[in-house]
Amino acid sequence: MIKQGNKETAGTAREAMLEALPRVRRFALSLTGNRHDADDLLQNTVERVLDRGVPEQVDVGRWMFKVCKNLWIDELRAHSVRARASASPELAEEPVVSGEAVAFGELELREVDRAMASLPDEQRLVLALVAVEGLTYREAAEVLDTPLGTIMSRLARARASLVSRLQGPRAAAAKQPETSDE
Amino acid sequence: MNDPTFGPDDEALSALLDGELDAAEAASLRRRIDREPELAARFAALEAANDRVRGAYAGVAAEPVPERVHALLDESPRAVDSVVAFAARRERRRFASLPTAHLSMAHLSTAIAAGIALAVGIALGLLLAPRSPAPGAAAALAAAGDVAPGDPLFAALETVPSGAARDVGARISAEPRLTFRTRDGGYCRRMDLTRERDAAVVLACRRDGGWRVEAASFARVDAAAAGEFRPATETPSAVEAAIDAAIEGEPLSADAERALLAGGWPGGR
Repeated sequence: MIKQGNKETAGTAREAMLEALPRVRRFALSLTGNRHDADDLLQNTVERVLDRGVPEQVDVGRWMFKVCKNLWIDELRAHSVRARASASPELAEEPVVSGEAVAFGELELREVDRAMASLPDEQRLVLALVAVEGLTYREAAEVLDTPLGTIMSRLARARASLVSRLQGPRAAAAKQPETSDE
Repeated sequence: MNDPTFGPDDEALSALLDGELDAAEAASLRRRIDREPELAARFAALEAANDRVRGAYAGVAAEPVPERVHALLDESPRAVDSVVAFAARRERRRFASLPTAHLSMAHLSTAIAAGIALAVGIALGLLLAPRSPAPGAAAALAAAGDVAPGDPLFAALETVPSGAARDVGARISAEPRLTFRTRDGGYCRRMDLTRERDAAVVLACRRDGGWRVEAASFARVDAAAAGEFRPATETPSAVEAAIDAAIEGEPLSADAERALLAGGWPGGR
């Protein structure tokens, strides 16, 4: 059942894990909002997968997403303090760089992350998997143990919220939200 | 959840966006979009929000994975590991300013698979652009780049010793970083191109009387740690991977390099 005993499959699983690391890390960042926590979450994910193995017939990358998701949810429960308000205070933990030095991409990432952080956790998860990681609904349903229909409606709700938060390129700073949806 | 921003067709539009509607549903919704400007605008808005999310995180998957995470998976070092480790050590010793995290295993297979070879013109173009290349740009530009005699880059590759910088025009500074002999008997050089905060790292090899760019990575010089490169593209290790794949033994010593620079490169004109 578990890909651990057999050396050959273990080697393949290890390579598949290595291959998946950058994307799992990105997934972790899209959940945690800062690289420090994302790297910790990634490390915990790898440790957990190494510890418990990967079931056969399962895509290793998607399994890692699943473990990562579970650990993130556990973490959220453990630190409910980290209620991610729209201010998204954890972003302040990012290394402070002078405004000029922050690449456009980094500013954009922060702004989008603030919008992501405003979503309910289950919407953030499905958006991260489908919009960022490019999973199909079926794959996302498998990772999240959620019916397809629920995936579909969470995604739509997530995107609808983002439309009102991310109007136009970098508009959030200049424009008040038109609706108070919180 | 009572969300006033949620429209009645959002679910279908969102699924259309993901290509998750079946053909008949998709066709019928597209017909409605063509007829109903409001629906079209809503679709465009959802798509734009989606694109921003995807775009914002696109480059993250190219960032180096922390070494401590790799270490968890490296419990059984193999030959390839030691080759990579060697290159990393070497780089660290000679060029202490370069981070080595991205020299790790995980990027190797993807980097090699990408087989990236960039025209120098394209590399320079990207350097000249106001910001680092869009994610995917490197992979998309799979054209190989020849550096012909007469190109300032050619002269830099041909004559500038490792560690010395030369201005090649357009405010771009070219600095060869190391020279090595390849397994098939040729020579290659790693060279950094920088323009203010943008940087590209290229691997060029001497072929048929000219230089050919075999691999390129793009980076942005992190002002917070002056002199360091922070990889900013999907294959930050493309160059390192290409070096590891091609190198025979160690990089040339300064003396051996000097002899080559003075005496001419084999491979003729």
